[in-house]
Amino acid sequence: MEDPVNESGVRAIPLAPPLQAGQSSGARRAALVDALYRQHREQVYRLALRYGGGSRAWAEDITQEVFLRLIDVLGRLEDPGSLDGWFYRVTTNRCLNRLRRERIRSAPGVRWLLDRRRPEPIDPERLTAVREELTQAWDVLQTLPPKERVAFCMHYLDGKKQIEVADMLGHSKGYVCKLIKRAEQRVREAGWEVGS
Amino acid sequence: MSTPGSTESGGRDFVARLRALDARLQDESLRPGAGARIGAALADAADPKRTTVRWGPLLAFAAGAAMVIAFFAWRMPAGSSGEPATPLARASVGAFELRGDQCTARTEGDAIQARGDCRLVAPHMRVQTWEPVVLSAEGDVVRIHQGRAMFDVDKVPDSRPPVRVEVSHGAIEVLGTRFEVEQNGDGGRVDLFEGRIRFEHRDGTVTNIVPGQRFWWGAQRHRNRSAASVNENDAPVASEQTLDDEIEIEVEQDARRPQPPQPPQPRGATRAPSNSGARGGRASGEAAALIERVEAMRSAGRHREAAAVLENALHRSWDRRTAQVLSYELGELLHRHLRDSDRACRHLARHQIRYPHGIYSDAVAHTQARLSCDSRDPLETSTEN
Repeated sequence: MEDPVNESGVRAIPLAPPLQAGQSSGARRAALVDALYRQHREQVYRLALRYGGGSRAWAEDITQEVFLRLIDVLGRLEDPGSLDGWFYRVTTNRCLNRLRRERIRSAPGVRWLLDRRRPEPIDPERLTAVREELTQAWDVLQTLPPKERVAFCMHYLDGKKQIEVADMLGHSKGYVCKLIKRAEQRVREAGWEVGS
Repeated sequence: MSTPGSTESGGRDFVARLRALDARLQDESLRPGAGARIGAALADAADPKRTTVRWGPLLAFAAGAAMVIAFFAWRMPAGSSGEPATPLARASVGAFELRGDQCTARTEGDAIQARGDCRLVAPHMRVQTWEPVVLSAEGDVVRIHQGRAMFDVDKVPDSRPPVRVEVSHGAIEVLGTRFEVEQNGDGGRVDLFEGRIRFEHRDGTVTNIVPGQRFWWGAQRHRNRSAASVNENDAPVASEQTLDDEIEIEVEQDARRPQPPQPPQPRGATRAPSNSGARGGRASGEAAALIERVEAMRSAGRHREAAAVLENALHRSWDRRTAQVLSYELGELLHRHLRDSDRACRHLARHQIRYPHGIYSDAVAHTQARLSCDSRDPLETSTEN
């Protein structure tokens, strides 16, 4: 049987070998997950790194969560060969959920109840950014509330339209517009300009 | 000289700097150790059989759990409705065995409530359920108290009494057939797909039902009549045919409408199916003849020929309900008799597309799941659509 050809005329390459005699469906499923992991893990990791303030451990946790989620829904995905959009959406939402949980846990009252100290701030220099102005911009981004941070990055860094951001985050376009405007306002109050 | 990210007005452009920072993050990669660790965790999650099991503690725990369950089962009075549902691979209902990995069951008096994908297996009979159903069995008699089930009964030799399925307003005598029964609190219906059954009323009269017919009893009949009248007003009538000779019986104790006393009729006296109109009778005759012809071929083991007849018939113009019945029958032939799973999956996929909320959509979805149609190549499926 010939390989399927997609709309753009590109011949799709099977991600996992066809089921061999004696090979269980579980083994084939594991092979497919492994292929998808190798193909998409850097995309997921880098996106998580952005929202995790550059924390590698944070981004690795998100990466694992996203691929575990993939295993849950693998049977329901229409085209496992084209999952860029799915990974982008799921990673963004996982990051947002985790940021929100951490924000609640970092509230003074909750920290006192849980007997936890304030988390150490991430030092972006440890990663790549060495220039002072870059680190300042990074710091300002980390001060934005989770929803505003995610919506702002999706819109300005990933070039998503407001309606696309709204669709991915499950909000109305008006609410996303408000989130982005609020984020812009906070950035300006920190002494920065927000270009187009 | 302006620095990267500075604006024309000399201010600091936040987005430009973030982009520069983000570009640097794009050079980052998963640390090799972390990548391997996540990969191994995913492999375990995707293929649970890879997980190594400490059998000793597990068996000890299982033995303890079994003893606790056995103790409570012994102490619990029979029929307690508070008994929790337990997943089962096999359980008994009278002379029947209830099976299914995705099946949970709990006893309700003499009856058992089954949930999920369950099979009730007896020497001459198989019952499939996929929704919550409450039923009991005694000898060859099955009673449906509530819910829906598909029956598949082997041909009954003349020397043996027919299998009986009891419902609220009588009993269905089965002479070797396949049919679906739905019983609600105050009424129900049976759809006969193939073979021959007869409904024995409480007053002893008998109604014969032929393939393709739907038979209502109890208050369900009144609800159906109301719904049908609404649909008739909405639906285009021009070329509509109908298969469903809906045989109606009087409600025995219907408080909403006084019933004249019915003279007792002896067992053996049959009621003719009461066709609702000339249009329905003419169309149903054509469809029923087709189904009888298919049934005859099936009885003779000419399954391929029967499938071909049904496939040709589906190219003709039928009303929606008749077309669904014929399409469903073709699917059953392909996977039950011809054992052609690929072809069955393709046909069932087309069926679901054509009748997404059809009368057999649940049963078709169930068959698709049983055949693992999802795991088959969808492109291959779509090429025939």
